[in-house]
Amino acid sequence: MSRDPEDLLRDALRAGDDPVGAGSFDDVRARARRLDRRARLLKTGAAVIVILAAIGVSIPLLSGDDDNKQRVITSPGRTTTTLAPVEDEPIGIWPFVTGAEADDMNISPDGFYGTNATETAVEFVRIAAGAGDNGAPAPDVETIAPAEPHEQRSTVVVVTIGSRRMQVVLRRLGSSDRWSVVSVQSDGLVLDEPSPNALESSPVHVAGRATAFEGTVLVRVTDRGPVLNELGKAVLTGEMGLMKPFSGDVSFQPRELGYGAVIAYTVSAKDGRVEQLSAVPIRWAPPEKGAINVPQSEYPIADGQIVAVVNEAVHGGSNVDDLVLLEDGEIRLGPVQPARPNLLWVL
Amino acid sequence: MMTAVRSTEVGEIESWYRACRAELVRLAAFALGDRDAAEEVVQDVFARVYRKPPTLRMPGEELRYLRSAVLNRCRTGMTRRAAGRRATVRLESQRPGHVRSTEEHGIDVATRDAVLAAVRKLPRGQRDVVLLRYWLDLPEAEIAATLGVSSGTVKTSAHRAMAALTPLLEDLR
Repeated sequence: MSRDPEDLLRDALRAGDDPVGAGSFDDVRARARRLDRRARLLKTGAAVIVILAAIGVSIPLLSGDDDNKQRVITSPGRTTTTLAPVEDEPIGIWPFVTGAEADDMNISPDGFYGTNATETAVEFVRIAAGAGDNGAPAPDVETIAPAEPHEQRSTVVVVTIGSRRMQVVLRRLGSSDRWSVVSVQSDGLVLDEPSPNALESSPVHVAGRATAFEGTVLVRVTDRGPVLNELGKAVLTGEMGLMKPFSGDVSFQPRELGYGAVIAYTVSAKDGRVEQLSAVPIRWAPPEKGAINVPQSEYPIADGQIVAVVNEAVHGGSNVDDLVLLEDGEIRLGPVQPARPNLLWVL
Repeated sequence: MMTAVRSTEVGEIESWYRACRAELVRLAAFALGDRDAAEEVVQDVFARVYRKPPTLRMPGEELRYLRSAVLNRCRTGMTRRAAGRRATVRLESQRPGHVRSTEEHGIDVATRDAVLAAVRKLPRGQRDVVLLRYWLDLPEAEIAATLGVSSGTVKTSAHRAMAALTPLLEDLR
């Protein structure tokens, strides 16, 4: 009997479904208890490490050790850094900013899970190079040096757009096996400023060296993470020729929790296609702790209204992270968000 | 405008488990090709939900939430463990009496296995769309919400998946 391919597929998927037993919810409870125990153990382990580190720091102080090296270790900055959860340090550009984000199985930007470093590198360059440039065609991104399979936590993938080469540096953040892009550097477009993870404010000063048509380098400041929202853009001009310097300031609208990236790129004089790009992560101080400026033209809401804070990358935007009150044109977030919000719903 | 947000009661999760477990196990089994690993994925998802109940926007949204969590879990944390167990499961699946009945769908076991093998070889995004669309008959908007992608991506993935599967399906029909 002949039938439609779609019907055949439907029948094949449904044919003879194995019966599934009811299962026992006690097993779920037992597993949840095991997960709880494991989490407690990890916390205890972390506390022990902190205590041991504190003892190691205190002994030279109490014994009056005058060694210069020990003094550096006991400086306040170092101690604070040691105590801070390293996994939450924002170090990625895309698709995840922190280890906590990468570890969250519910965050998957546009269905992309990033367990393959080479695919992640190519996808990022496609997204960063193809975003919104006057309808110019998307560049052909190819890999000439894929990630080595044995690389465990960090790797470099070399990709090309046409004849231009760029190195994409990736890391596995947190304990996840998912890769995140942490920087991109092109052979013909080097970003000297800002330095990676620098604390910046608007306008951010951008400087570097490039081989570019008429010395023109375009720079975008974007959010970091699953959605690369453009927060600011500028055209910087330098000198023509081989690796000539360029510099300038790029204004941007800081928002969310203060993680972003500077993406510099050059375009083809022939068809406007992106030819090469470099990117570094930056951070900025939010206007106030946990506050988000609400652009009134986009969200016509008044002070005193309640809005829901949502991240579209989590459960298709259906999961509400927080409910907040609009005050003085800002919303103030409660606890640290599991993922940075990019959507507001007015209630 | 939206409906009120509500927190999930821990007691509700047990009723979700009773109502949704079978479908979720089958979904994970399709995705992983491994029934034991699928049961483990589903149990793991429920354990995590039990520890930290989600905040849902409207009643009835839990199934979408759980499908999404199971598919994500299949892609990430559980896959390596599942791969290690596959050999054992394959042997078990060859036991007499374990062969699936397919007559009522007018399709033989060999055809079914060939189609399932081809579906599992699809890229993950396309495979998930195929499962949700042709196995669960979900509408496009629901698939998009479950996978956290746009409707356009769902259409594209479905089109590409069918383009890849059609030669095999044409041969089999």
